[in-house]
Amino acid sequence: MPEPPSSRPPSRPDVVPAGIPSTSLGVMAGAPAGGEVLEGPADVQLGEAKTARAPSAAIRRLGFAFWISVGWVALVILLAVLANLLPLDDPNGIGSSLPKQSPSLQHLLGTDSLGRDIFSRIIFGARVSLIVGFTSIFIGMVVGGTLGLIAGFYRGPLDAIFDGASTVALAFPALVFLLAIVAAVGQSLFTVVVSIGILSIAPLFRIVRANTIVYAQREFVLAARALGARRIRIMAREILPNVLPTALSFALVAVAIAIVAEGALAFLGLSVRPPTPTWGGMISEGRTSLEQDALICLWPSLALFFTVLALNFAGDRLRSFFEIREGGL
Amino acid sequence: MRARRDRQTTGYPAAPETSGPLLEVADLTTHFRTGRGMVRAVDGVSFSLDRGRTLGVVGESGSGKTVLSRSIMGLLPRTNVVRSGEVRFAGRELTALTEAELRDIWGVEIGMVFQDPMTSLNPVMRVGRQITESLRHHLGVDRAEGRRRAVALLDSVGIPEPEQRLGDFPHQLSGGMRQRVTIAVALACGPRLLMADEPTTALDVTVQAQILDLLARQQRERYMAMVLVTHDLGVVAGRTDEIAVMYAGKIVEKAPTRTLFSDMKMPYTEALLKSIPKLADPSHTTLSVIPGRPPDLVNLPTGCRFYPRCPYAQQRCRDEEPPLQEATTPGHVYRCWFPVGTPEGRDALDRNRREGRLDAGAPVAPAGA
Amino acid sequence: MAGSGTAQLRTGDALLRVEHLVVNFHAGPRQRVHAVSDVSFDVLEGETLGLVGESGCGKSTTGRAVMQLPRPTSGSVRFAGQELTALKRGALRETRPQMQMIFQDPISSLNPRRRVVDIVAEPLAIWGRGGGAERDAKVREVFDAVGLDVDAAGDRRPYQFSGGQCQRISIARSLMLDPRLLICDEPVSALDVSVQAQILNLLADTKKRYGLTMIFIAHDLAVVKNVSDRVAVMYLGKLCEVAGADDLYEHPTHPYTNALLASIPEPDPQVRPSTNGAGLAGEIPSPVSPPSGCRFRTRCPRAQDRCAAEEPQMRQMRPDHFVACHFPVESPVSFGATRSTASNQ
Repeated sequence: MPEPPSSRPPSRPDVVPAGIPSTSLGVMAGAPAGGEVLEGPADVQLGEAKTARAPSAAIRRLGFAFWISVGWVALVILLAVLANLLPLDDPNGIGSSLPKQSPSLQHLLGTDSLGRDIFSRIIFGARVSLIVGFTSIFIGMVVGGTLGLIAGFYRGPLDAIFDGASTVALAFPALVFLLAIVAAVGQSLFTVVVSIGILSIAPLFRIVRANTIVYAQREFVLAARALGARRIRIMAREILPNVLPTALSFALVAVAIAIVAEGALAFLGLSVRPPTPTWGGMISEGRTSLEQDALICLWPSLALFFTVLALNFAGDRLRSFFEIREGGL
Repeated sequence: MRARRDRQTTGYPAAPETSGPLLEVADLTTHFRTGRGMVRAVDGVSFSLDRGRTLGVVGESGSGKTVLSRSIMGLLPRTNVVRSGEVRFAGRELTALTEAELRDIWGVEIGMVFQDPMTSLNPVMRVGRQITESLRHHLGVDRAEGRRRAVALLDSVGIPEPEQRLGDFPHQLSGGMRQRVTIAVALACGPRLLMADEPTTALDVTVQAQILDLLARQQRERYMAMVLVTHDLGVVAGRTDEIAVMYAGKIVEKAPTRTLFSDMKMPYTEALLKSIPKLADPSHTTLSVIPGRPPDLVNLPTGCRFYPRCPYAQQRCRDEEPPLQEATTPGHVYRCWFPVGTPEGRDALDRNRREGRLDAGAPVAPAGA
Repeated sequence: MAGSGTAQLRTGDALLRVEHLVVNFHAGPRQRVHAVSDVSFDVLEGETLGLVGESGCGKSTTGRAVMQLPRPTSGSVRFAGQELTALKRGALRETRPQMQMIFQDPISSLNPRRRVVDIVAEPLAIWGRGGGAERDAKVREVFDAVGLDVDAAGDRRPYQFSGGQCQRISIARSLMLDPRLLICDEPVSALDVSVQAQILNLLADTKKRYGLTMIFIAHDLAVVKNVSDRVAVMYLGKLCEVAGADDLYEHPTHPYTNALLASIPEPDPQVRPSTNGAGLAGEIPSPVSPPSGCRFRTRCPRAQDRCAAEEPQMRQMRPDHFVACHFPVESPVSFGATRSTASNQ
């Protein structure tokens, strides 16, 4: 029964638009729609004294699965950061062991067709995936988010231009763009990060702009203007804190999409040059021996799958969490 | 008898008539399980309502009045609700029905009008279809007949050019017009009971007057019973036969409308009435306020639930919960140890005045929450 | 009604003097919303002006145009001797602390992500006024003035408060800069009657304590009468009637004022609301294409041909009682009489 609390004015723009623009490649598409229905009596919620929500309650409300997801991502990050300190085999040590060994104590996940330790390669490969995922979305967030905040706050001709440009950018086939850049500049980690970052600007711009427009119409923004707050201050102090939670939870989902995109590039041989291990590259290499030894392909696929799933889930859960808070329950 | 004849002549299905009141609520209790504990939103409410009569339910936010109306309808969340008591409507026990069975009663036997027309109307469906849909679904009328009746309904709720309005979406209408449409939707199947929950709270005074007049006229013409839920005693004063005042989940006073205003017994009713600004008073008259806020429905005070805010409160009010007792006028009941207008009440008030604790120790604005 | 003119303006020093205020909005291609059309009024120091009318009459737009949020299309707004419409952005900003505003939606007017103590302290932070201790003292003072305990409430966020409490927080924030003029835009419309009384009394106390001048905007005449010294009735972007609060209620002269009075629900069952069209029939016309002449004529029971042809000007009916109507209600005796007048259609 999602009825609004009875004594509240009806026209409150409660709903944060989680507008998720799709792209031609479907790179940014498919983020599950969040939003949880408020259950509970309408006028009871208001009359009762509302106690401050303790942090532990928030932790519980996010759910067990959320913390599992966060734990997984944290584990992957930790392993990737500490890879050099861990007693791992050389990920690029061709021929140091027999090829295509089954998992054993010495090689936890076995070895690949060149005799390299798969476990070690997955952990080193996580570095590429994580760097690409987080750095590119960070670029997209800073550029797209800033533009979205400005466009959504000022509106007018500037907004029309940015919005039109984002529509064009979203219509441009992402894969073609990536291929063109790599072909022109040459493949490197930097190229991959920047090009995926550029691709993420338009969708992140859209999210931030849509949310900014909603909050810019709220009366607390008008109140700040009436107090004489400068526009920069209004954007930074009044609007940004409201837009950021939604934007960040969407960014987590975007990181997952970027990781998949890097995997796809690596699969096509367009990401970081071999022999540097990447998950996509490992899947691509394992593909040739798929029939004899499916495990070589399976391990990096699982790593990719669980990391992307965890990021998606955590981002989605966070978004609905913030929407409920907004609902005032 | 008249109700039956009306229904037959208008072609609505005649439901079996039974003797006794149309709606009978007995000891209805509705609690919600929350993280903080049990929220006792409705706590043992009983009343009955005859055909063609209007009951006003008045209370502040948090008094449980909205939950009461939803609980009667069976429109409650599926989880974490504890409901007990009886709701008999036209001889059927609503609390025993499944949701599928209730759906044949909602909108057909009982119409509903809510505070915000924008949430009760489907924003992406044309006005005409919202009306004809329930007609066709519940009454099985064909398309042309549905349209004819929809036009007649819109006309009867005072919407100009009803044929053109059929093709409009809700957002194309003004707030008052939207509320007229929700009334038309509620009346479409010829309900015998209309539940109106704060139907005019979101509207201007001028439109409020129009909508209340409309509801009163429809109720009279159709010989419906009506429950009018509101926070404003002014809204129900001229338009109801009986008024129940709710506080913290309980009915604290119930009386025929004239009696309630002329001979109120409950200090809460008196305080509520006094807090309304009156036109007859000169400007800058200090309004008398009810200090504090309604109690937390999880941690209710012992004794009388109003005592922390009551100017009449005595030690006894803190210790013992007053039962529902009868006043001299038939049908007038109240819960108070020191009723308004009685020697006991006057003494209590004087004592509090002398001792300077009119607010019963409650600060005018409680800190925090 | 619904006329123009400046007869209602008083000579001498008013804190705020608004003349020929016009606010138009663009609403799509070649469509213009005439939200406020040639409205003039003044507010003396220490006075409360009530601005009353239905939704869509332009009363909120008028309040915001006074604040220059946004700037009006044309007209003059003189505040404390300064012509606000002529000020550049920087100079206008300097005047902001002297004028503050409270809004209808108590929850929407507070930033949901900030602690209420920060929300209330924000005005000082914006202006860089006062040090930490000084700020704390001021925050404590205004919290106290609105009846909230800063220690118990300060660390919470707006959604943890009821509507009435949020409105108190809004009032506290508006007091931080010691304004001279407070514009209250429907501050009690979203509240229960019991809470409404608390907030109305609080506003009256606050006004006294801080020596405020107020513009109080509402749609409920009973509420407006309670807080105002002078009342201006608005309809569809025009003023209908301006008079002292008590005088207006004793001698409502404009047919629209009479209709508004008749719509107020009386908490008295003896006054059976007549259901034969008392109050006001129909709806307010679109401000995109307002009626010619008197804008109220389409709903007015007294309308004649002249009302369509000629716009009524403000004229004095009694001492300090002005009305813009060709056929004013001359001498209503009591409220009963005004009711029947309004229903004689």
